[in-house]
Amino acid sequence: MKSRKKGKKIPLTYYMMVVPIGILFFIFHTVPFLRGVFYSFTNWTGYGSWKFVGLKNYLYMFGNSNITDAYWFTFKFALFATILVNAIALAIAIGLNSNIKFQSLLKAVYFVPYMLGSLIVGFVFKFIFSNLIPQFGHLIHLPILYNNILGTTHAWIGILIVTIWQGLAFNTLIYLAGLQSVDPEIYEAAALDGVGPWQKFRDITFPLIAPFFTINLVLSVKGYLMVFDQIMAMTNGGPGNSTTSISVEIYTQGFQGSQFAIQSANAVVLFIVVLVISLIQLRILNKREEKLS
Amino acid sequence: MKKSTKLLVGLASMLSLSLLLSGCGSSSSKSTTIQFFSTKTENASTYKQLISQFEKKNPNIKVQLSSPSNAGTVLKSDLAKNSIPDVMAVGGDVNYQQVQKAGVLEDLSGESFTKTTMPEYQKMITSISKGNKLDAVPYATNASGIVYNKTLFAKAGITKTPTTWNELITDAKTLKAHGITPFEMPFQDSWTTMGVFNQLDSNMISSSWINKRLDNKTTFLSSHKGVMQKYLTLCKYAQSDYMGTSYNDGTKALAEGKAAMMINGNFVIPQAKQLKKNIKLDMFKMPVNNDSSKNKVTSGIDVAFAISKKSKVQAADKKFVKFLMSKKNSQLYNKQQFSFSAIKGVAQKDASLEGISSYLTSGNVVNYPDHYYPDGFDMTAVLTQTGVNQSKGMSDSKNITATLKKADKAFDSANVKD
Repeated sequence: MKSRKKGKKIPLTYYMMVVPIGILFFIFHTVPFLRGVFYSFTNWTGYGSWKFVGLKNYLYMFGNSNITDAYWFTFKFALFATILVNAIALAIAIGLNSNIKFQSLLKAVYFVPYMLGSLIVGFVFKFIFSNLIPQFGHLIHLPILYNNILGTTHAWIGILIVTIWQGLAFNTLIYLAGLQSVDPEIYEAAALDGVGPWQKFRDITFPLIAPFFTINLVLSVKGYLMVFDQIMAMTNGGPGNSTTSISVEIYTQGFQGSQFAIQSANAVVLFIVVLVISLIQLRILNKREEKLS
Repeated sequence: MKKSTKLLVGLASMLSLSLLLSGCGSSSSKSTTIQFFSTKTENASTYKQLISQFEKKNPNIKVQLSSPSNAGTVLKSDLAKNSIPDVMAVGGDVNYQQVQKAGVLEDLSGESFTKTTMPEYQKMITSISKGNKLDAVPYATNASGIVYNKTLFAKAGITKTPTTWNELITDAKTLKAHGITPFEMPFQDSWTTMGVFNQLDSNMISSSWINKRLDNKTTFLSSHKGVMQKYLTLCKYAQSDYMGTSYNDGTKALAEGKAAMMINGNFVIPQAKQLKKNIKLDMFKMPVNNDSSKNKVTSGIDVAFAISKKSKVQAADKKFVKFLMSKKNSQLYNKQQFSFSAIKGVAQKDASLEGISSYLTSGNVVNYPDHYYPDGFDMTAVLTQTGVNQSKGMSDSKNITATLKKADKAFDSANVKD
């Protein structure tokens, strides 16, 4: 070990590539994060004096119906968004991977939503939901479309639609990369054996792109548990608190409602929840990958 | 976590940036510079005009105006790093309350310019201040009421604006019978619900109620059933998709004559007029009670000036505030911003506000009840839920109970004392 270190000196360049970013990451990410954890045990309102209150903020969280409602909403939203985005993205990716016409054009088109900012997309869809769709509904006399969906109890579906539309791009891209890594000879061999399309997908394609499925699933769940931009742009958490996600609750109550410490506690809990869910997912999916290969 | 850390990172970088900037500022210029912070963005052009006049008169004083769009958050981060601007123009709301509570504002009760302001509005400042101090001078005020389209009223044969609740409902029925939507309610933007609720509440519930509520001696459920009943009645005369209409679309509908009235503040009028110049709009006092002598205009402080205790240029700060508060400049501000003045003897003369301006100059006003709510209690979220309940077809009595219970619960969880 010692001799290897002496014999092969690692060039300084590698450290220069890693260390500055590491330091910046520590200063601008880790330090604020640890401060947030620290303040979650105080009664700080964002300014002025403070004192330690122990676990009071965490206990308050569980008794506050707005916060527990936000958790239920976020879980429901993340579940639907993850399943729908991944199912649709996989279908699109398989479509785009076959030899259809305008393949590269369509790939570009499907990738466009990813390049737009979530806030912009949110504002555009807010306009579509509140102006264009009701007008269209009146035109074709379909009463179900008369009202702006964002002003009803189904507001979350409106947000879900926008999230799916925007989330598809990235997931499709990953699946597409996965599909292109599959050796076409396997399909040729399968075709000789007379394998049908569904069996081909279930027994060949899907197992081979399993690692990509894992990445997509973990990233989707993580992303949708932290959903924020679309909601701020479209409903601001309303009507009522029906579309208040955890992140929205943290932002609005923490900064506007002077509950900085309580919402820091909420942020810590959200961090733990996301971490635990991601780890469980990785464990289960990795095991499955091993079994398949 | 991600969002809040991002914000913290933002704050941290802002802090370091402002340190750099302030370092530059103090070394390069000899003349005095006043940092002037405004929580409103829409009046920046008027301020700029007044500032250039002030700078011409006082060549060695420079005024630096900043009016960021997320002013409340900026002000809080200023507080967090313990350096607030020299002069602040804040509303008589939670933004002022928080800065004042931190104890960083100069007491202005003895200043000459303070004495020119109306005592009713001074009281609104002291009533939300810690220690009942006057740490900000009221400048411009707004007024709630009902903005109405004169042409549509005439079309429906209504010649006189309603002065009692029954008259208001009769007029709404008449308008509906003529195929005109009586009220435009843009509740997609949840703050507009308070435009209705505040006026009902301030005219029906005693102003001492909030203190009892804060001490948990009363509840919304036991006292606000009448308020909610009237609230729901008004909603029944609104346009069909009132939960899905945004404030901008609502103002547009009012400007285009699609609805006859909007229950909100005086600021609706200039916005509607921007969309349609020749529309005939006026405002009347919202007739909440059937005894018209009991109806008051709900008016709050739109702009009040506060000066930092730590400001190194206090003499210049006061000179600047005094300049802004002169009768002439206050009149200019009123005219351009369609607001009312907290300064005695400065009246709003615009024809679009004649239905209401006399009440304001005589000081016959009550404050917005939500200015006294605890931080973190969001009544608008409760009221938008009410709207959704109504459009789902829930009965009024059920809806009222559900709403008020929800309000009490939310109030309690925000009303924590330690």
